[in-house]
Amino acid sequence: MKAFFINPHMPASSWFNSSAAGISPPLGLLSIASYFIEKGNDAIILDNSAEMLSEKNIIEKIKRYAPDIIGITATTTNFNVAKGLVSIIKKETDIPVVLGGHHVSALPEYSIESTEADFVIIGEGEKSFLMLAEKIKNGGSLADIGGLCRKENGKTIVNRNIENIEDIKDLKLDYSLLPIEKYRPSLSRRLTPGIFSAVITSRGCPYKCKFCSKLYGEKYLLRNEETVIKEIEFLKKKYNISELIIWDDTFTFEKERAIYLSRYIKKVSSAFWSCYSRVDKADDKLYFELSNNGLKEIVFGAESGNDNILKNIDKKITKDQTKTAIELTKKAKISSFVSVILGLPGETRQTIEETIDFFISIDPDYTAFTTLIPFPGSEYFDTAIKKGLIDLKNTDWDSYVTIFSSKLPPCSLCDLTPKELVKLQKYAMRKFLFRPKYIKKHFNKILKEGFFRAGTVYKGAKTVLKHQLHKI
Amino acid sequence: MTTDIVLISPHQPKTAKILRTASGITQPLSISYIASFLIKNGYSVKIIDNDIENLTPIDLETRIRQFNPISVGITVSTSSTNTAIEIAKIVKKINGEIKVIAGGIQPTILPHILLKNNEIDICVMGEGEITSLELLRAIKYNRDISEINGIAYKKNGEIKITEPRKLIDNLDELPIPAYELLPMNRYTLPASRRLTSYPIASVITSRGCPYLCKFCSHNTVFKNKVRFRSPENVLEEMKYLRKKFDVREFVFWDDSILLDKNRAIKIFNMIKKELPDIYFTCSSRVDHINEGIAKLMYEAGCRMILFGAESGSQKILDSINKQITVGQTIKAVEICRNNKIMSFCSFIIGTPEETKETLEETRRFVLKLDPDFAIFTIFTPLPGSYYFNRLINNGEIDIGSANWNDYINLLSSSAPAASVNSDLTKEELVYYQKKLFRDFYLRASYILKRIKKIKNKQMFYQTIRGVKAIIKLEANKFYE
Repeated sequence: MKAFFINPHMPASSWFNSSAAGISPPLGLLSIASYFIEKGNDAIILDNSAEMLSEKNIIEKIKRYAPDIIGITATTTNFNVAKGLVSIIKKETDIPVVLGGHHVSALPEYSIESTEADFVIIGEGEKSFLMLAEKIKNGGSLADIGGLCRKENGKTIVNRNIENIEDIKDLKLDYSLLPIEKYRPSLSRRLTPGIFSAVITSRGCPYKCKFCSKLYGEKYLLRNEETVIKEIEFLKKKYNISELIIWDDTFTFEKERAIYLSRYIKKVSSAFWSCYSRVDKADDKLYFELSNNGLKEIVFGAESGNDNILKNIDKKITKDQTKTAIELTKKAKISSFVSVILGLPGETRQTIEETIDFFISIDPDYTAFTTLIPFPGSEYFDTAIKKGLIDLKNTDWDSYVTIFSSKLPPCSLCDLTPKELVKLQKYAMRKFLFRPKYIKKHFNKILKEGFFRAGTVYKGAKTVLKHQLHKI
Repeated sequence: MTTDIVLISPHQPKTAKILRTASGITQPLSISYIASFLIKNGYSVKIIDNDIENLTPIDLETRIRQFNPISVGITVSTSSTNTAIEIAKIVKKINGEIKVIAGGIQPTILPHILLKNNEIDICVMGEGEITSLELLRAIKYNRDISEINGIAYKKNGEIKITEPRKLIDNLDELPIPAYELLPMNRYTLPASRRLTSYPIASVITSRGCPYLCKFCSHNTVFKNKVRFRSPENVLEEMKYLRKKFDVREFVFWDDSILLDKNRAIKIFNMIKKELPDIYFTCSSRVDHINEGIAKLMYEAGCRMILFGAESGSQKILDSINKQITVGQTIKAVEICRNNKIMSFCSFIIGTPEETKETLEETRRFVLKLDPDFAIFTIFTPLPGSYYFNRLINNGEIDIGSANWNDYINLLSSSAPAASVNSDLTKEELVYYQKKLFRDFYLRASYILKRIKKIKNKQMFYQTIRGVKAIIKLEANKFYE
């Protein structure tokens, strides 16, 4: 059997971001394709976020490969792009098309009814996709495929028993399916001028933040460490990568494991790397050890500088923990990147001011002031639907962009209007970035790291200025 | 496919075969709690409940081999000490590198008994969730285990015991036990406690007990401190079980569910409202129940309460520090009768102060009390209990030569573990146990009552199961 997988490109509304934001390998899709191949089939991936092929070329490519089935992944932001792709594929071919990913997992009925896709797969797609492909080829009832949403006699049927695929823990991702040379991290996460890739060592997250669209529910699975190390070894050998992003929601959740893996990263690739973590998991010794093994930057979801808001969103962190974490990263010579959400329930002009002042006082290396977007699958999405702030039929998914968006957020869950929020977002960026101290810090970085850093700082500054001048 | 840890609940020894006829086997909550806690932290876990599966050594070996584990955790009660060691041997035969960890009451009290076997590498002492996680991390990522609290291990042939593990403050932080890893529709309750024909599930809503009964070993683990789960947290678990496994019969394993009455009332009210179609059975102290709460319990679906009546002699009750009176037992059974809840009284015979006279008192008492069910266990000095420590200190038990297969206090097919009673011999105790069962169950009025209560096929089979157990006990020859 042959499968053709597509990761659609981003919509024009997020194009502001395009020079600043990176393009990362679609690891979820890669996992589904690798699983499919491991079970004795063929597959290719077209990552159109990196390739940017025209629709005509995509169709041509599909026809040349002549797959038995097509799988397309979609986030909320690029759902419309995916929808357009499905429609043109269905016009040009009669190959069954399956949609998967965060967005459709949260809204399976909506997704199958509002697009021309034949099937929608919810949750972890590896096994469901394989079972579906086999059933399409060999016949048999589709009713017992867990996680499958389909149409039968005009009715939509969803099987919500997600297939259990514990063996994906040992599954080796086949990175040769992806155009590795075309990927790049976002400017603020650039560590070297060389080749970059992203890896993932666990799946899911044990926390329940209300703004997060939880694809895996409460599931949290550590991947087999040897497999991960082999992947990194492969990336080093074949592409000579010099930097990595570890894509896990919280890489340092298991300290011993993080240290164990970091030693191997250093040993097999000597790449510099960055990861995501939580401020409540900050630890002196851990940071020093990871820093020694090539960790250059940590991204924290600090979310807010107001403890009441933090409490409301169920993030289970406090302002003080953020402060400590930033101090510890500085001590260990690790850059810090904090992500902040403006417009969380309870937010006012005062709390935004408070938040900005707080982050200026702790002074992380990078701050992303995003606006709250209620992504499908999150508690806040349900709240927005209940309050009538989002109408599923008319909502514009292209506006579901958290930062550097050229559109207004779809709605606001606090007393500020979406427009006011965007204004305050710009104000926050100005206030944080246009400080002599901050500018000096990055100037010093250029002096220290050289030409490539000058490039990232220049491009970053350009994006910010363009965004500041843009009127919605 | 590799697995980080396989958790095993061992089978009971052959001496428990009569007990197994009558008793049910319920979900092994201890390893299920540890499993879900490890899974929540990203580790891969499998469970083999060999108590219910009863795999042959070869099948067990094949099963473990399939899982390809880094480590194996075995929960060890006093009576399953020997079978646990048998399982450990199987594991080490598969691969000597697999770390074998023992947890449960026996390793908590007597770690050296287990560690003297080459096949057991580490004992987890006390509450196991956090210790297991730290231990598994260390094993997997080659870290030193000497700083992990709550374990005993061997180093250069010497047994090291680390600092005790602190109890978890907030039980609500623990995830729901990993019921999905268990063969859920195979579990059942003792014949006498079955209420429906739907799948059953065990739930525990608190850990610990503030009382200090001298025969009980719970306090060694839980330090005389009680921690409660919130009613919301309990209901979440029950609703999950109802929805996912169609469970409509619950058994609460709390030492006494009515310990915090306000919380219990809240739980019962929530069950009444949110799970109107379930039944449950639970345990309580006789001094905790009253008419009002019994009425509410019935409305919530409670159909049976198990009481530790222990003895019909006030002198014995005082000597074991149970802090109840025979009057309270009579009252509790009466309250149940008034509220259509069945009462199930458990008695212990042969505690150190027991005499023929007190036994006779108990016999007369239980006949007058006439609860729906009664069981008569022979006193067994459980490791961790006050009496066990006293017997060791007095040199009356030699731990080294103890046969743990005999530490079964009910329907055992072997003689009692240790005679601790100067007035009564082991033979006399077994004779009395049989006599009490006979005198209680083989009464015409009682038999009639039971027959009247048979309402469906399920109940008929349960009654037969109970009758079979009593006959087997009668027919068993302890001393040949």
